[in-house]
Amino acid sequence: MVTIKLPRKLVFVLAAIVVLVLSSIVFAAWSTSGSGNGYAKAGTASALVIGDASASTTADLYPGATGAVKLAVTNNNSFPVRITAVSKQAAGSITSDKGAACNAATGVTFTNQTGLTLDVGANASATFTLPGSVSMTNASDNTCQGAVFTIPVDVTGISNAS
Amino acid sequence: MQRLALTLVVAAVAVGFPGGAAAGWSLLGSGGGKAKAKTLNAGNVPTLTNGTGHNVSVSWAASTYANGGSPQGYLIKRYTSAGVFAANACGGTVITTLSCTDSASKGTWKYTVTPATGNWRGAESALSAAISA
Repeated sequence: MVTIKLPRKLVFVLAAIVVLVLSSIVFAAWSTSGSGNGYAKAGTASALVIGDASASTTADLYPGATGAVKLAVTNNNSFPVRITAVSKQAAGSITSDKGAACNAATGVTFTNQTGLTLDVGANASATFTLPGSVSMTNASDNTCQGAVFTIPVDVTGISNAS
Repeated sequence: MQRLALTLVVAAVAVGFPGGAAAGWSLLGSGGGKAKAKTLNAGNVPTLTNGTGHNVSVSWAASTYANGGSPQGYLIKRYTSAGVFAANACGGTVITTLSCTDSASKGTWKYTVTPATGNWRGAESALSAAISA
């Protein structure tokens, strides 16, 4: 065991610096959790990339039913990420691949998801299922049968290094 | 005292960085989640029996969605023996059972069944056999 002897003043200055640095890091982490487009933090973290999960969908929606949303996520960072929340973009509209008549009355609503634990490895991609997160009302137009719906969402994640 | 302060500093660093520099960073992403709707299969050809007077009892087998489940109800239509549309039968509303009684007038009629859920419609069934009411 090596004992380092430092002047008392120096020790307290060091302690104060550490506390200040940690406080700023914690503040920075929480202050960047707002909604909006993806961004990179301090030039070292890349935004999560949301891909097209159409091929993974299972037809489960019909008027009066709830269904699942599929989410394809790519993490281009060198550390793993845990997705904790998925919310519909306030200004975005749910659309379909069936055209204007269906888009005008999809009858589809998305319930924002919180408390999630969806893990994506470092420099990896994964497709997740959000069961029961979407529902359809009787307002859905007849042309929406068989439609694949696109729900504009914001995904919030946090670094998940162990 | 100095040793205690140093220990506290090391402990604070260890707690603050449990997984390295990236721990605790928040990230965002934006894009489209995907969901898919079912399709409603066609109606089944109904069978007919004579009721009292000119009434016709119409019954049919349940329809399904393409990958399971049943529609909310059915629309029944009456046609002439020549296959010309005559009227919306059984009150013209969505029937939530698998049979109904149509108050037809005297004549020879055929019927069809169309599955219905909300605004969704399955394909109309083929015409039934004719019945004389």
